[in-house]
Amino acid sequence: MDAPDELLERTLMYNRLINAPTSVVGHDDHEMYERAQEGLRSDANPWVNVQRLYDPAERDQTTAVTNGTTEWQMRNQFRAWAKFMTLSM
Amino acid sequence: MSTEAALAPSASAPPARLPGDGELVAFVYREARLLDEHRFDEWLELFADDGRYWMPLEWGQTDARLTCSLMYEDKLLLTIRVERLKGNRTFSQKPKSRCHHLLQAPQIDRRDDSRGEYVTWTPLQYVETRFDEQNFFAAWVTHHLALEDGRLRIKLKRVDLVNCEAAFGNIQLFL
Repeated sequence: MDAPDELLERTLMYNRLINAPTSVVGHDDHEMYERAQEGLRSDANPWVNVQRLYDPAERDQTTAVTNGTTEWQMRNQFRAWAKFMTLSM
Repeated sequence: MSTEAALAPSASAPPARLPGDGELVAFVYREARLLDEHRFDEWLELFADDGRYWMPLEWGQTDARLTCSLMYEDKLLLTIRVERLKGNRTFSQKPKSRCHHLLQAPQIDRRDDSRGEYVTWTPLQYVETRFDEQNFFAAWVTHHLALEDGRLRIKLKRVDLVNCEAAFGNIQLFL
């Protein structure tokens, strides 16, 4: 209520550029998601490689700013999964 | 006034040589051909510096600013879009999409020779393909053209899809 028009204008621009069927961003994201799904569906390789930009020192860091193409956050997700699944063992 | 003086270019006077109907129609056809042939840099040149490409989301939409559209882009954004199509990391354009414009004869809706401003209206059927997928769109295109330094330029290209509010897949190129 009563927000300035500029906020709506900016939201609409974001919607057009990022989320719309005419996006200049989403299509390339979706292409990669689809390729990843096709890869997972195939039985060529049972493993998903998340080694990209692995650094042995990363385990000790709780927060970090790093390269956008690293799989660090995926490794952290699996580390957390392993930690909580074995917590009561 | 001599004929020569009357034809001399002047900032305030209307351009000496005015486009005939045939020239307006040819402009619309040429624009579609540049898109079909992926000559996007030449296509961008057709736009005035303050030109816009607008594809509304709503039927009969009147507001581009505070109502959502599928596209509402100035020349900078159109240029970014064209650069994206050429980019190495544009994964969804490997391989590239292709498009085909089928135009009905453009009609001249408005002619204002004193200001050098013209409006044309063109029903369009458009096909965009990539891999085995072929998507079909039907639309009406309204071109707002203006004479700038004796050249016709696009001030506004408005594309009204027949099914504007439908859920679409990817639209990669330009209707």
